[in-house]
Amino acid sequence: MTTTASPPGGRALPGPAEVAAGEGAATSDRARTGGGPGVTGVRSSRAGELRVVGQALARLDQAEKVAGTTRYAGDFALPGMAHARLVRSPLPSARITRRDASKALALPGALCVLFGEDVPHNTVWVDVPGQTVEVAALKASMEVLATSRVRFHGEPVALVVAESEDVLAEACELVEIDYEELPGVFDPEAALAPGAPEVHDGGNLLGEWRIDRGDCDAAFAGAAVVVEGTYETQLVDHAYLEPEAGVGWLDDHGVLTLRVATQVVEHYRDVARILGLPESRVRVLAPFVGGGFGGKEDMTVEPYVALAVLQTRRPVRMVWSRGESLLARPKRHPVRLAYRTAADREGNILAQEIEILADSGAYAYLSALVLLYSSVHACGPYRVANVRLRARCAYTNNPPTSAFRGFGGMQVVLGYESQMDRVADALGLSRVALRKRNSLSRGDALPVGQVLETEVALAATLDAALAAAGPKPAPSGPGRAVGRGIASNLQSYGRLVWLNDSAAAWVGFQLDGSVTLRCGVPDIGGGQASSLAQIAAEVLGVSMEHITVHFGDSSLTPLAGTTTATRQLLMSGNATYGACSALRDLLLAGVAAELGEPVEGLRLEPGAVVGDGVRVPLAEALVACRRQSVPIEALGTFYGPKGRPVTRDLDATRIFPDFTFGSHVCDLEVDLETGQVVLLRYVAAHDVGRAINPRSVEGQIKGAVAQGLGMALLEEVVVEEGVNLTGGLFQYLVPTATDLPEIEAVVLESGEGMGPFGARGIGEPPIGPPLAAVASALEEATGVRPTTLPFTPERVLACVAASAPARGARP
Amino acid sequence: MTPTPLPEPATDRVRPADDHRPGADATPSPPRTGSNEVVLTLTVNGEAVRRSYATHASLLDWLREAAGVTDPKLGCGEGVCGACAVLVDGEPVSSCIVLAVQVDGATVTTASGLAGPGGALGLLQRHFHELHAAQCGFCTPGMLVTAAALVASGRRHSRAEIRHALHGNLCRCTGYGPIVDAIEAAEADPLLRRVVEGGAVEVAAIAGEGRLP
Repeated sequence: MTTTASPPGGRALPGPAEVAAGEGAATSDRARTGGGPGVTGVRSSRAGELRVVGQALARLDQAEKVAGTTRYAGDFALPGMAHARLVRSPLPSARITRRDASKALALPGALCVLFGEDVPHNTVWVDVPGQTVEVAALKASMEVLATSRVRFHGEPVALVVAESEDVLAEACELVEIDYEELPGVFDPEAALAPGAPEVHDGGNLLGEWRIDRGDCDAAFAGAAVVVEGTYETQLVDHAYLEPEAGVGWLDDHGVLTLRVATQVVEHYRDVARILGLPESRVRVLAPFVGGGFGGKEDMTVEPYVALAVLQTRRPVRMVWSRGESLLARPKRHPVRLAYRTAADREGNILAQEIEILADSGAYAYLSALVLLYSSVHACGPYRVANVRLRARCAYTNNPPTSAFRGFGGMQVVLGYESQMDRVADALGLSRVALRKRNSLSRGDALPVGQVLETEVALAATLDAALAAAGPKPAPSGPGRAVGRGIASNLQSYGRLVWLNDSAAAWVGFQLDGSVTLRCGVPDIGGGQASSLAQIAAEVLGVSMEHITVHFGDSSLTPLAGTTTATRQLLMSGNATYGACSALRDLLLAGVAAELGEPVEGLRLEPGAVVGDGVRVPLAEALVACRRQSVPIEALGTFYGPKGRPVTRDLDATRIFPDFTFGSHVCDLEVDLETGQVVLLRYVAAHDVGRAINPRSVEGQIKGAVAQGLGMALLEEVVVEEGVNLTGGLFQYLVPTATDLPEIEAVVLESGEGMGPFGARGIGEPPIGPPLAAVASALEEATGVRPTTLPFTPERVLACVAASAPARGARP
Repeated sequence: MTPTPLPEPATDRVRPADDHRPGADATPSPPRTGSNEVVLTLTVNGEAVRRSYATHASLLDWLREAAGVTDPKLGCGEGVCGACAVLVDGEPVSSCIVLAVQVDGATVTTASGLAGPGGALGLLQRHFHELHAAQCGFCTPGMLVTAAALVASGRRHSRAEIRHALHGNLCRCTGYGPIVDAIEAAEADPLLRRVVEGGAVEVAAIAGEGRLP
């Protein structure tokens, strides 16, 4: 019935010495220091000893979502609420010569029109990390509302507020803005050529990273085989179903409050800076978010709603149309990859020489960091002793690019996995065997220098995915060919170690034994809040229904950081684990004091504190704590592993906390006449360390695969000379239920992650392999490997045509 | 301690406005009047709803803004994504591209109308709930009504048929498998089988046990 192959709790992998639940539990003190270098942060336990963790329980948020009662950002309304919208640049590169709001303001019901001069601090500065003085733009800037220059089609120029959406639409039409078109540059290579129009003063090179490890020249000279390949990825959009939205109002004490669809409540700080307010006077609430995928990591509506509220002193709602969302919100970097790979006769990868060029679009956003991820992940889950890498990203007058699930670690999978296939083919070796032979192991170092401290179950994921896939299907008829592709990857979880990441959670018993959990985590649909409840239920011996989670409130919940970078289970998960462990210890201490018994003899079981011949029901234990002046609440703060910042020439002992590994198998059929591709079956196996909720884990894997398959075959934001031609979902092809095959998630559990109970992060990792798995399958079906995304029927047909002379000879 | 003053509205492009801070002035906006409004009466989730609202309003805007029924979502505004799907006289439609005036007098069922008695989860909702068919949940109301129309046909469908029926509803989180699982399970539910023995049923009948004969 369900498409999972794994029993609840997943498949156990042989692991190192495992620790029983509770024994390995962190006290709040350990939670504060845990997760440092080494595996001190790893808390492992046998799945069989867990009561709640590992169960495929219904998520806390599910009932309201299926009832239709969840109130998303755009569903909220307040009395007297006004409406706001942006007027955006119709040109990709222009000087603003005139702005006139008088006609718009004359419209009855129009409340205000704001230009950049009306924004207290209109310029937002962005750090471009790790760059030396050779790179001009150490600090990048952008304006909240462009005042004199626009750099991309869709850049906000004016903010209009009106009584109703109808008046608003008319008022926006009446705002007069004149432009003088300027030369633009629309390709990253052209942008870096001498004499190219400068998008920002100081040149178009935004970021650059290098790796120089070992002796590449010697390795290539001594190689049995050298394969080369270039690959090109396209501009894609997150296309979550919920467009950007938010409602803002002035609360009591003049606290500016924003209830917005966001992955980052900590943007209250950015909003405060823009408005010139103390950070304590801005509050961001994140209700359940209708999908994020990185697209709600940068600010979207926040500064504009805030400005509109302050100007009108009224509640204001802003909801972006789908067209706006596709037009102007930052997207995934299109990347050009050039790989040269050397191997010996046995199939050992000797060296990789890699060039990466990414299109950052018109503003910096997170481009330099995305490119850093590409650089660190560029050799894949393989041991490579000699690496020469140069990665650059350039400003253009295209739509800006920034965070998107996988964050630069995704595009490179197409490069390194295609190269692995090519090396195997050139040597006449099995593609699977080649991957296993070169797989990283615990103790190996990545090319940047980071040593892997936890289990690398890559070979196990390959075996599991192939076993679940079974035999390759036969073609459904003449003129059709079936191909099977495999692809593996690694993807970091947790933020860069020099960002001093932390997360906090507060947990308290109510007097009736129910539990209140407060954590600043934004829940963007992955079950983030529910997973914390499941962890708390495990540690505190209460059932899920007795836990209420308050989340995503920058003022009233302890800050837990961004729901990005596959970090929340690691960070807020460990914080919750620490808080709950501390609370459990308090409860035991309270009972011990009451009974005059040593605390060591007591343990917390569901509903009672139990010791040798003693059983104190939870309600009595809580009263005992009150009598003994022992608190029944605790705050847990988890600090991520730390390390030093990198410089442009990457050489670091630690860049990320840890990595997640996986392997995928894709079966597809190609119509050799039309180039039409039908996905037949897809299997994705990942070592998730420990599945806190197997259904949530499977959901993350299947959803990421679906998004990856969409990028592989269908999706592209089409931009011509900087003009974004993709205005709607009728043009931007998100995969439908009929485009996708049955996707099977195979969940492996090494118990070796750095999250609570040995969990690894799984939000981003499964989006990596589909591009390469599909390319590999298309190569097998057509005889020629496609290298430019998306693999449309036209491009697949070109592969068929290119291989036509040889195809008769293929088995 | 004096709080930092808020920045003054710093532009001449602002109309003076009263303080509409919630709580300070809970008076709702004045009712709309004028020739561009029309009074419509629809039966929404079993209740007659009569509202005067903009003549050019889509059914989606009418439901969300005039009737306060927010479970149908605006995902694209062009009839592609299915997040706004509702049942009009039992048929699924994209309410963002239907004018409210076109369906005056019709019976409209949204996802929240598929609940059982007392707000308990209805039969279809229960299977969505048990099988994790919702992640972010934004597509879910539209998915549910499309599924309801399919299930109400009384026939059991193959997974391929279910996928085909869902092809007008986009989901970006699940890869669709768990949604297909949930619909398959609902169609196999013995409770439903008993009701649909005689063929197609009213959509309301699949909502929950309480409504089953």
